[in-house]
Amino acid sequence: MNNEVLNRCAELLYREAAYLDEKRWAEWLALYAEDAEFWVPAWHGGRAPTSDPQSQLSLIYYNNRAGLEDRIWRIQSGQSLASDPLIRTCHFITNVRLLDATDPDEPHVASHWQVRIYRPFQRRSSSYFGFYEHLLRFQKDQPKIVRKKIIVLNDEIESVLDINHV
Amino acid sequence: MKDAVLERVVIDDPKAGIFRVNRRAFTEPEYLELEKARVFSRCWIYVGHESEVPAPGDFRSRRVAGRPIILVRGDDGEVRVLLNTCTHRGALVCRQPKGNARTFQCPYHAWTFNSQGELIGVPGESSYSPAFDRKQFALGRPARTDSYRGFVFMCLDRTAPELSEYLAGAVEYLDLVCDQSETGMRISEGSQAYSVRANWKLLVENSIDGYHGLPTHQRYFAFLADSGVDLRGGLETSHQKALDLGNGHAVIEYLSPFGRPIARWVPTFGELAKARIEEKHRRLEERFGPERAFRISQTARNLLIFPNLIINDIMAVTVRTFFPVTPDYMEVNAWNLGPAEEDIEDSTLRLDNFLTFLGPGGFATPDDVEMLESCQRGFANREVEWSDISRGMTREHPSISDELQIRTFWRRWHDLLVGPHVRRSRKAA
Ligand code: FES
Ligand SMILES: [Fe+2]
Repeated sequence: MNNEVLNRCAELLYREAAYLDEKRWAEWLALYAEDAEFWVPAWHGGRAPTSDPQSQLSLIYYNNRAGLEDRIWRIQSGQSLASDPLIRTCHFITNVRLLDATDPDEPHVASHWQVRIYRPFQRRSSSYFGFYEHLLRFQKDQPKIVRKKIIVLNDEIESVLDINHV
Repeated sequence: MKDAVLERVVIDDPKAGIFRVNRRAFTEPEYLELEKARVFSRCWIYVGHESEVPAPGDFRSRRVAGRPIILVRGDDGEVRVLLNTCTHRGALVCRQPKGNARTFQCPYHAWTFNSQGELIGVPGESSYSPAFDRKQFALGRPARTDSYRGFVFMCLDRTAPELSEYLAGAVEYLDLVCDQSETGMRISEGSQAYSVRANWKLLVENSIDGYHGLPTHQRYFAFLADSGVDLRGGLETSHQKALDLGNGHAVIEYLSPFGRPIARWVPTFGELAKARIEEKHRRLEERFGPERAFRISQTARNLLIFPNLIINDIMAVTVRTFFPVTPDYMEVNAWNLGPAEEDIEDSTLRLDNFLTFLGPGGFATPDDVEMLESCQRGFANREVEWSDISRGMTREHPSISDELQIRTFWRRWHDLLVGPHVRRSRKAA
C-alpha cells in the first residue's frame, strides 16, 4: 500500500521537475491547488531556516496560486530582464520518502533536490540544492500540490532566485 | 597610483554640466585597495540594529566591511562591537552566527572572554611570565562605535567626526523611517544573502537611481497597474526631491506609487486592511500633525548613508549593505525593518510587499542585479572609458530621475580617495 502511495508521489514530483525544466509553465501551474502555499524560507542567523513566513523574512513566499501565476506571467512576458529565457535548468530529485500518509490521498512527502543551472549568456553553470517538503492531494484524476516548502542549503543566492532555480 | 591619475578619475564641471566617472574605478584592483584604506577604514560603517540583540548576552557575528565582528549586548545592557579574532593567535572566538552567551571561549586553546571583550580565563596561566597581563588581551574593538535610533555603526578611524555629525542631513530621513513606529523599529528574523558579479558602486548608484525605474522594472510596474495601483502620480510629481545630505549621503523622496503598510492603502491590500491602515494614518496625524503624517506615510524614500548602507523606505523598508570582495564581485545582505508593535496581519502584509518587489527572489531586485552585471560585462570594452552621470546637472532643482544623488556619492568617494593633499593643491590651483 505504502509503496503504491510513494510511487504516486514520486511520479508527481518528477513530473513537476520536468515541467519546470522543459518550461511547460501552464502545466506546472496546473499542478498547484488554488490555495497552494509556496515557500522558500530565508535563513536566520545561518543556523536554521526561518520558521514563520508571516513574521520572518523569506526568499519567496506565496500563500495562494495567484502569486505563482504572477511569476509565470513575468517569465513569459519576455520583458523581465532577469528572467532570461535562455537559462537552462535540470532538476534532480532523490531520497523521496513519506513523512505522513495516514490519509493516502493527502500524503506529506519529503525529498532531496539539486538544480543545475546553466546561463549560456555568461557561460556559467551553478547549482542550488536542499530539501523539499510537498503536501499533495490526490483527487479524482487530477493530483494537486497543496503546499511546497523548499529549503535551500546554499542560501547565498547567486544574483537571482527564480521558481525554476530551486 | 599617481595623484594625477586619481584626480582625473572623476570629472566634475558644474558650470558646463559635465560629470564623468572613469570606468577603471569599477574594474581596477588598485581602486579597491584604496577604497578599503580610505573609504571603508575611515567612514562610519553600519554593523547591525539594536533590535537584533534585544537581551543581555545576545550576539550576532557577521562580516562588516570584510572584517569578522561580533555585535553583542553586554550584561550592562550596552551594545558593543568586538573584533572577532582571538588575541592569542587569531582564531575566531565566536563561530555561531547568533545566540546568547555570557562568555566567548576560543575553541583553539580555550581562552575565555566576557561579553565586554575582557579576557577572563587562560588555561595554564601559570606558565606565562609575570609580564603577561590579561588586561592587554581584551578582544579588539573598532576605534569607535555608536548608534542612532537603533542603527549601530562602527568606525575604524579614531580621528573621524562623531556619528551624529557624520550622519549630517541623513538624520532627518532616518527619523522619517523610525517615526513610523510608536515603540521602535525592529529587524525581523532572517536575512537575504546574495552575491552580485558587479562592482559595489554600481549597486550604490542603482539603489538611489530614479531614472531606471520604468525601463528596468516595466514588468513590475505593469503588474502594479494591472492590480489596480494608480500610477498616474508616477515618479514625476511635485512631491519629489533629490538631495545631497552632506558627507556623501543622499536621498530621493517622492509621492509613493506603491501602497505602504504605514500608511497608504491600495486595493491590492484588500478591503479588510483598509480600516487598519486608515487608523494607522490617523495615529500618525495625532502624533505628528497632518503635514508630517502625510510625509511619513504617503511619500517614499531611497536613502544612501555613505558609503554602503541603503535604507529604502518604499513598499516596505529594506536595510541593505554590501561589500566588495573583488572589483567585479560583491556580497549583499538585506533585512526587513518594521515597527516592533506590528501584529501578524500587518507583518504579513509588509513581508508580502517586501518579497514581491525586493530581494533576489522578488520582482524587481533581480532585474537590477541583471543590469549591474550587464554594466560590469560592458566595461570589458576598455576603449569606452567614461560613464556619464550629468543628468539634471544644471537644473536648480534636480528631479529624482536626475543624477544629483549619484553625483553626491561620487564626489565624496573621490574626495576620500584623492586625499587632503591633492584637494589642497587643487584649491590652490
Ligand atoms: S587562538 Fe584563541 S586561544 Fe589560542
Ligand atoms: Fe531598481
